[in-house]
Amino acid sequence: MWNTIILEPMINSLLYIYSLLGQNFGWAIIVFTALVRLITLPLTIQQMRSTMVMQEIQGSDRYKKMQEKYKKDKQKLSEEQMKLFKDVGYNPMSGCVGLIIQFPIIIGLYQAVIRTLAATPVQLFDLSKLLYPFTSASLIPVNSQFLWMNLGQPERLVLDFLPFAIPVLTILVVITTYLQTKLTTPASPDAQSQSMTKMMGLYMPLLLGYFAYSLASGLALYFFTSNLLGILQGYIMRRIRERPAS
Amino acid sequence: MSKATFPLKKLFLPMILGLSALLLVGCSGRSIMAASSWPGLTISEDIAYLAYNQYVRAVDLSSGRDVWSYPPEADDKITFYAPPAVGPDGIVVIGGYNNEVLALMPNNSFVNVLWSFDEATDRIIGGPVIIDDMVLVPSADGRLYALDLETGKPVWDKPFEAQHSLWSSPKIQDDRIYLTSLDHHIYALDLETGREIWQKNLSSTISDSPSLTEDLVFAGTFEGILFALDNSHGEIVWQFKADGAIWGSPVIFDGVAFFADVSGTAYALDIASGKELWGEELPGSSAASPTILDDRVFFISETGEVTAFLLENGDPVWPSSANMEGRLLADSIPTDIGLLVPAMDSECVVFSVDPSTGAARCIIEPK
Repeated sequence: MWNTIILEPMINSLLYIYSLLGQNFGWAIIVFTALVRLITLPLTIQQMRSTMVMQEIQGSDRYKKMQEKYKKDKQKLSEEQMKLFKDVGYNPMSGCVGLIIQFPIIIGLYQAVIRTLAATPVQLFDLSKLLYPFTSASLIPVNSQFLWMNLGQPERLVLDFLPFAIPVLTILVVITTYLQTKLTTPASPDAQSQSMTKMMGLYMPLLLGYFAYSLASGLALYFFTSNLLGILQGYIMRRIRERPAS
Repeated sequence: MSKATFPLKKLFLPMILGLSALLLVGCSGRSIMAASSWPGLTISEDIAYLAYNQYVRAVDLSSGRDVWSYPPEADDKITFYAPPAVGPDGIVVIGGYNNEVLALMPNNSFVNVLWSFDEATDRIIGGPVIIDDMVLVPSADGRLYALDLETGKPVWDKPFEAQHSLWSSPKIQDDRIYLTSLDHHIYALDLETGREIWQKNLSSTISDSPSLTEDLVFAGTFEGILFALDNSHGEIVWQFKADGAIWGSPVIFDGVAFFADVSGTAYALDIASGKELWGEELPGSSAASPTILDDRVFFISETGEVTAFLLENGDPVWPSSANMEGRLLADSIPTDIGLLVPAMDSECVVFSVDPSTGAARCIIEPK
């Protein structure tokens, strides 16, 4: 079911884009990531809006007062919070729905890139079962060379005048993940949320950086592209939010 | 109370991220870095030479015990999947996913490394082939290396170079090497020099070795076409379109080509005309070459079954096929103790299937 609904359409679309772009898998990953992010844009916007509304609620006097008033009665606090959400027309689940729908898409995108690269016999055999009849088998194996990278191998840039190789993409992934986390998680007045945001800003770049360093550079390219688009989305959303209402 | 729960709160986010990471990597089936493949099996004089994961093992088929294994201690960075080549005087040539080729000389339970070759720049996936005093090693770097069996030194001026990876063993007939590549080509090379005699583009990836008769070369492609080519110039004599991608080499016997495809269909074709003699459905996808024993042809399904048909008319032999745990993707090998079937993702690495009844038992367990 996972293969039929998520993986097969993604792999075959990726290969279709690859064929349109002169069999350049690097560009195929970039365009495909952009398309998927475009398709899921309404969900991302909904999720970001929800986060912003929540931030506004948390910053309101009514919210702060109830936190103080019912700090020893969690049950009552919860009831009052729900009442407040209802009054301002905020659905606490609205942000989660977007995330829940996006999560399988992100996992599918990741898997589609890995499986299409098919670096081992088992992966290639499995790929043969995921192709649609109209997808040309002549596209396989994909050309994994992109710029200085072999997209099926971890990326390192070797320069003649340096005694060591530079993991350029890893560095870019760490920086862009940090920026994206900063831009898409607005400052919260709540101390616990602040702590979570701080940890997120620290762990996410390290985690994705580790993946980018140790796994295939095709994935690192996907992380980097996705982060850049996320930063762009975050920037636009922030500008819209900061724009004075006319 | 709050002090006691604080560390848990602190750990919550890293735990969620860690779980997400596991999900990301886990859902992909296998990491792109993992050197995962099916076991490489070679049989010589009642000894099974098995390359799987971190070891190459020699297993006595009568007792099921290891005679020797290499390396003495597992190294996480080195894995072996290419079927070992066994030469005269017991020399065993193995290739690893660390790009290295080794010649081993077993001495009882000890193994001496005679030589090593480390000029390949990608993994050794296809099995090396020993011919006289030379060993041919296909590499995923696209090169076919010809090495002196005694010293490991290159024999040709330069290795033959295809446009993409070589994942299958070369086949040798007379003074020629026939070689397939992921670059969609089949090549005929001069055995002495490694120079190309002819090449043919078959428009799609060829994963397994070619099959040979006196005057024809056969190769199945990812596009699901079985080609028969004239071996003198590489001209296409006929082609047959199967339902799915063809992974395993066809087996030629008595004027008939037997093969299976990824859609799970077994075929028998007349090699003179390319006409289908019979086609039968298998329980699952097939990546392995079929095996012929007596009057039967055995097909391996990925899902764990071996199915036997009569050579003559394709009638099924067993009421139901044997069923084994794990993924069966490697070729089976006929021996005195039954049909040996390697398995991956299983608690048994090699099963033995009784060719007359289809009953299966485990004869080699993972190390």
